[in-house]
Amino acid sequence: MSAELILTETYAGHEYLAPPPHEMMPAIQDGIRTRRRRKAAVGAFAAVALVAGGAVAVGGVLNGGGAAPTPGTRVGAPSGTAQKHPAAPAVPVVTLTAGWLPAGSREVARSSVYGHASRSWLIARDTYLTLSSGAADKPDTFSRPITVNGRRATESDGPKLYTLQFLLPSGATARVSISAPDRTGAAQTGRRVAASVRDGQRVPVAPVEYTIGTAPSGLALRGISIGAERGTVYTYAPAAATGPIPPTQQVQVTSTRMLPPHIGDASYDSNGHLVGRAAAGRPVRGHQSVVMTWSGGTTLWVEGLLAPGRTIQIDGGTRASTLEDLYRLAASIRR
Amino acid sequence: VEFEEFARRTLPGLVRYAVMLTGDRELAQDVVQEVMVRAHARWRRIQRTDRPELYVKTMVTHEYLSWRRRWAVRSITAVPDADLDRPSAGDPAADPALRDADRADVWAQLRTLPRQQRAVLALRYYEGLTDTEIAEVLDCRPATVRSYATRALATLRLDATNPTNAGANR
Repeated sequence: MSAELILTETYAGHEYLAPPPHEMMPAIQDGIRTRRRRKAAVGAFAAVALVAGGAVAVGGVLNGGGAAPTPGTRVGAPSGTAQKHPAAPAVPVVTLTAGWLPAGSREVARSSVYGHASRSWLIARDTYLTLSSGAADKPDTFSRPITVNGRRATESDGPKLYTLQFLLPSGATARVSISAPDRTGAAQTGRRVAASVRDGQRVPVAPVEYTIGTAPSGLALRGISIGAERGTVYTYAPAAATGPIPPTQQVQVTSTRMLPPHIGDASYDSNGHLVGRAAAGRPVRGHQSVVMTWSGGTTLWVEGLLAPGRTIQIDGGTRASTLEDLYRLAASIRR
Repeated sequence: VEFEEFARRTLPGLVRYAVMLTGDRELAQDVVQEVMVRAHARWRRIQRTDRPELYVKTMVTHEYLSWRRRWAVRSITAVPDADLDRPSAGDPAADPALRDADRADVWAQLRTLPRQQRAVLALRYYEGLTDTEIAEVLDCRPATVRSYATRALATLRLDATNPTNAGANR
């Protein structure tokens, strides 16, 4: 039997695996709405960061541990040099807290990036609740007005995402989102959490797992995200940058369990054009690195720098850093 | 054509192609969903192209090939070495049950191939594209496509030049 026939039969025999398209349309519509919401939010959050002085530092812990706040950074060094952390001008915090959460809830992520703060909890199997602040979503076909604690609110019960948002006294919008395969009871939980939301407590977002000794030249630490799965993500960008900050103008450092790409792996831009291939970089503290160019910058991976099985990934935008900056940043990372 | 109409019309074929590409129902759903959301954002440009469906199919291919997503699913492709070396249990062409088992083996082994090779096989044997068309989708030379195909078939122990090949890994 020919290879062509074997493969044709194999493929045809597995068409049944394809999910029914009608099941996917709601999720796609959900994705389109989420994309619109994020796009609208980025501008608003960047504006908030500017008002706050545009520079943040770090402190606190995710899991209630005792790590001392780490000094943040504000860098104004000449291009081409890295600089040690100066005094911390601010602390990335989340100010929203939930007075009630379902029993057994476990906080899994916390972040404050460009002034956009959020916290997420695993509240049941495969069910996540996120409390965040920022710009309001535009009403969609699922939206309906309700009242929470006498406040006007909007509830949206989409196919995979429940969202409830309302105005805080500060003028910002608080949002409670529940994502779950089965959203039975999501509205009830969301309303109860929303009714218990308090604003004003400053809960710090502290790095876990590792710290960075230097910052990319001319950039300031603009945010930290910590998560049980992803580790810590540092975001550096120009301190005075306003509006949405594209990846080309920022540097992100991430700790991940994912392996670096293989040498020769390709990178494509959003139009599907080949823009680079993974290549061996030079060792960082004895660990082999991998470098890949993408459409807006360069990424450096170093596996095992923190621990076996952990990879440090540094994404540097073309307008924010050079490859040398990324190497310096990697070399300064400590547990 | 409105995006919604385009999506309804093309979604069934795209999802099936994504399943052949990824070998995984959930990942296929994820890839197509992400691509359709992006396609909606640039729909004006896409609908001006000669073949919007092929354009979106190319987006699906690249989404799958992208290194970012590859990391996320690298762990799901393991097949025990012992299975790869299992001796022949008979002539699969003669027994439908054995043929079914054989297809399942081939399907499992497809998932162990490097992604470019899997894409070439899916585009060639499921979508029926020529090597030149596949080269356009993958943004490489036709010779590279042939090289990927040869290596993939060798790994699967399928010989494209031998019409009597009993196939698979038995």
